[in-house]
Amino acid sequence: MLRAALRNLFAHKLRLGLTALSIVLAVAFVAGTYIFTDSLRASLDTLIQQNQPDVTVQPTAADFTSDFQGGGQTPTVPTDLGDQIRQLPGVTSVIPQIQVTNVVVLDGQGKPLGAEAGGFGSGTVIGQTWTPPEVNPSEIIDGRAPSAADEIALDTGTVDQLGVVVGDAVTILLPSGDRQEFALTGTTRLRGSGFGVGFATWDFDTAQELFLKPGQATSLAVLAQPSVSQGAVRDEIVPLLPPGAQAITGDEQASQVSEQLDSGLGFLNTFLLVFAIVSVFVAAFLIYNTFSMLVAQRTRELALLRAIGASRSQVLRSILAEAAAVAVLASLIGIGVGAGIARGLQALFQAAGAPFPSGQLVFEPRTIVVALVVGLFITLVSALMPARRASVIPPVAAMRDETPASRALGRRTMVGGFLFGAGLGLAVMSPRLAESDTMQGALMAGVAAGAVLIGVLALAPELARPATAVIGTLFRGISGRLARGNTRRNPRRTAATAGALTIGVCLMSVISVLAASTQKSVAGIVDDVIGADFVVTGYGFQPFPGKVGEAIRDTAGVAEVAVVRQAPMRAPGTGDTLVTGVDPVAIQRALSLTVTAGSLDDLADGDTALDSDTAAQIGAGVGTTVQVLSLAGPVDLAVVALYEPAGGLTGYITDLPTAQRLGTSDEDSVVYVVKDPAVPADVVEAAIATAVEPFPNVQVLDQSAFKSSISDQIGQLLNFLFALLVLAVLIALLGIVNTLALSVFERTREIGLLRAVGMWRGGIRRTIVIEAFIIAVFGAVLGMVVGVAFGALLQRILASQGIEEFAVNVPQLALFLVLAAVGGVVAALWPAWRGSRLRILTAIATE
Amino acid sequence: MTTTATTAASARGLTKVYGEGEARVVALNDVDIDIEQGHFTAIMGPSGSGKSTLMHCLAGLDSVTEGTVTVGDVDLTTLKDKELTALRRDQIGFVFQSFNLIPTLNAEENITLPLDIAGTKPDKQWLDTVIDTVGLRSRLDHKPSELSGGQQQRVACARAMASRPAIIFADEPTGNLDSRSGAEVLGFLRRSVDDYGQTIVMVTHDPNAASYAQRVVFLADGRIVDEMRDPTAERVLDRMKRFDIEGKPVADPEA
Repeated sequence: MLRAALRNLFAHKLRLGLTALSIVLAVAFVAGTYIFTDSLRASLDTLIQQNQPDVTVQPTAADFTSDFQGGGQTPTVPTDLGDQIRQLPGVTSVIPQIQVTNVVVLDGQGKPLGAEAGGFGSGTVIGQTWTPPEVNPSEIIDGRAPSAADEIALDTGTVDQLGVVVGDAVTILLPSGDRQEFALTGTTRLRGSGFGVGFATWDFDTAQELFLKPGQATSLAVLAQPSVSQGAVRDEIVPLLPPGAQAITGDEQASQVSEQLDSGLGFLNTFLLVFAIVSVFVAAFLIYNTFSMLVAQRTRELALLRAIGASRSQVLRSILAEAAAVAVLASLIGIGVGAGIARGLQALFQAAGAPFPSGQLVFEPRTIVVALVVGLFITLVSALMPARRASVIPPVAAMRDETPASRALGRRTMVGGFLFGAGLGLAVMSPRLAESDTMQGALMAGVAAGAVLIGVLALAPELARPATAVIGTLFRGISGRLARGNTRRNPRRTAATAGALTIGVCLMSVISVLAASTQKSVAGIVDDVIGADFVVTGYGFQPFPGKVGEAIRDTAGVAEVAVVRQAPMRAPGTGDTLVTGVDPVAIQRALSLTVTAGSLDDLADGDTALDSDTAAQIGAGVGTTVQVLSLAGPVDLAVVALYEPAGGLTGYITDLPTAQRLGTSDEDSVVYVVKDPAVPADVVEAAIATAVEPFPNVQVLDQSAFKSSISDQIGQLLNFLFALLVLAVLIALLGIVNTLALSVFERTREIGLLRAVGMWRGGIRRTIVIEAFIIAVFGAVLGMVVGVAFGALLQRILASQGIEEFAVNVPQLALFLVLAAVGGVVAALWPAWRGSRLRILTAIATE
Repeated sequence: MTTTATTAASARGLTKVYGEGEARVVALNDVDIDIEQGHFTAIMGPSGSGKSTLMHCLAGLDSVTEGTVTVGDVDLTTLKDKELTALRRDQIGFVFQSFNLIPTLNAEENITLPLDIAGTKPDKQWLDTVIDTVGLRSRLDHKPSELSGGQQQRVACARAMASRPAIIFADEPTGNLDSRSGAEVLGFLRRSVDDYGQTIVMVTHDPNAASYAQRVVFLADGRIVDEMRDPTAERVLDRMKRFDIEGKPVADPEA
């Protein structure tokens, strides 16, 4: 029997190919996800493990500043501490290091490099010192390390983007707002990986002069004699440390970083797997459909096997063996394709601005096992039902010449109806639950949406008849009538084919609705909260020099300038966060904040205003004193006001002097500008633009431009999510190809008859293409209805999180529909071509 | 025999060869035939005699290797696929042995299928006549799966007649039917010749079916070996037996 199954498999290359392709794609996404994260992990591991100093002395504040790029003073350690450490027995050398963020590389036009592209943190690179190879994660690729005050080295990526060569001059915009030119002495690269992070490298003295004060470094790398353990050296160093400094061994640092990577990559992996599972689910539809059709077509063959004495279980086993063989083969190919997917994910993340490496791909044995298990599991589960159906084919079916009629849908409809109803019930209840606990409510809504979606998919065969009748009325003439008839002939098959597309379109619609609602809500918040006429931000929301605000303040037509300065802080209720320093009077003119207790006017030195959510969480109110850990160490703050979070303003707000004590530098995160009402907006805007001209890393936005800049950011995230769903949609379209190709095969004689009685090849093609169109539009509309409904539900649940308004991006949804329809038509081209090429005589020949 | 004016279709020097080299099979060998207009012609012959191939060539379903085929005054061998298709649609009706109907269309839609494909309005009066003649008035909105085998063949006959084709080709139209249903279908075909002057060519191996025709052409090994006017079932059977012996000296007389 096994031999019969295998022989059957290879006898039908087309069927094999179509079935396998769907498994390949599903497995590829899962495998690709693992390959991608494993490769990322491997690149990072090489980076962590090599060139680690034995002990690093660094500011304790580094514990909570690492998550935030820019903003606030750079925590330092004194370099003379290094001199003391160098005296310790067992220490061979101490290398002071400087690493700062927020160094901007300017291009030939004096603009931040890549600012036009609008990437995250445009032109911003990490500034660092060149260190001996023992502790240096970078290496020189070309030229030499910088050694004088007017010299710099840049990473290869930045150099390529700039289009400069060693010896050329490059201009750097410093955090102070000053520009300085340096001679490029060499190009650098992180060892053993192709990370897209940009680095600007100076010698130590130059970097210290540019970014710190004399006697300061951001860390000290300590190298010990090989005979002395890292722990022993650290223990010697600890008594020497001033307050605010800590010593960490290389192993500790590696394991800390490793832990962070585990959780970060674990999250990334899970996130991508969610999308991979969607693809697997869609592929399962396709596989189920294919096997159903193969069994239906092989009724006679299987009945013949039964007639000559094969038992039911032998038939069952034969089908499952065929499925398993395809699954194993396809899964192995899927792992190979997964490598391509991993590359695609790398490109996708890079396009989204994440500096992920495109280093060597890593194939863990786990990846191969998971791929095989997933491939086998979905294939066998999908094939089981058709196989069971095949095993009950009576031997006499071999004698009959008819395609099996579609079976009654009773039980399926009942289950579908139940799930649909239960899902609706949960959906109705979830917003109430969300009022007390947003997460629980969202979870319930998710379960509800899942139940409704599966319910709808189960009910789809019932919906297929009326729906295809309606969509089919778009087409007049005999081709339209025939196509409509074909979609209704086997509602189960039509529904399964369309259902695959339903899933993808549903998810895309949910995301679309959430994004549109977020955009509208944000726009609403901007309208409600931001009273300022102009908002000044850095490209990529990087902080910018305080001189910008000063320049604007001196501009004619400007009535009020409210600067916002931030610094990293660890505080109760918010964890690692940013403290926000404002002028209480100015900020109230620029923003309409809702103060629920106390008054912002009372905000004096040593006071803080706290957003009401955080206050509720930590049980604080006006009069409470809260201790926070700032860059300068622990500080007590007295709560004098509570406000409702709005317009990006949340957490702890202090006045500017307090903020400075807590560690803000003279860089601003945002500057709000209120104009003199008597001066026209365009005059003021032009004046401000002139005032900020020396600072190429800031942009001046009026309210509508500010809104659209936020919308663009949401739009970018949206495109990223859509890209992850593309594969699921592609698999669904492949399903249409599959179904139609097998349908054409099934209807060979019918097509022959149509040709005989006078239908042109074009007519045959048209019929098949219309059929695909109807299926695709049916699936897409179904998905869209469920998706928009679920999006609306989620919006209600997330209303308390700031998504207060519901919006639907109608052009975008219309585009989905058009793309689905076009995709369906494209999917039909090949089956249609095959159908039209059928030879009439073969088709009508009586056997 | 007959003048050209009354010839609906004809073939001259018609030769059809399948395959090449060792696998070369001559299905039709230099066949000349005239199909008389308004007549019911049956083509008979044992399996492999080339009778189906002859029909396919006459109907423009298959290409010819040599010779000419004329329907009306059009030489089919000069036509492209698209023109051939249009000719089949407008000039020719078909009744096949089985799988005659599109399962997703009801009886009426199946009957008007060639007209719908052409995009022409059916002649309502003629359509009513055809439907009443085959006795399907009450079954028009039934799907093929809801019709008996005989009813299905009658729908096929009605479809073949609906566009008033110059000629109808029927390929073993009663091959799958019981004798009573078969007689009904054959009776209908004969009536359409007698009452409406329809030209019909029927391929069959059943002497009883052939007896409904006005003329029987016998085919063996790709050649026309005999013909008979106003046949009866007994005469055809006799002829078949005899010609089996004459035409195929080494053949099995039981065949």
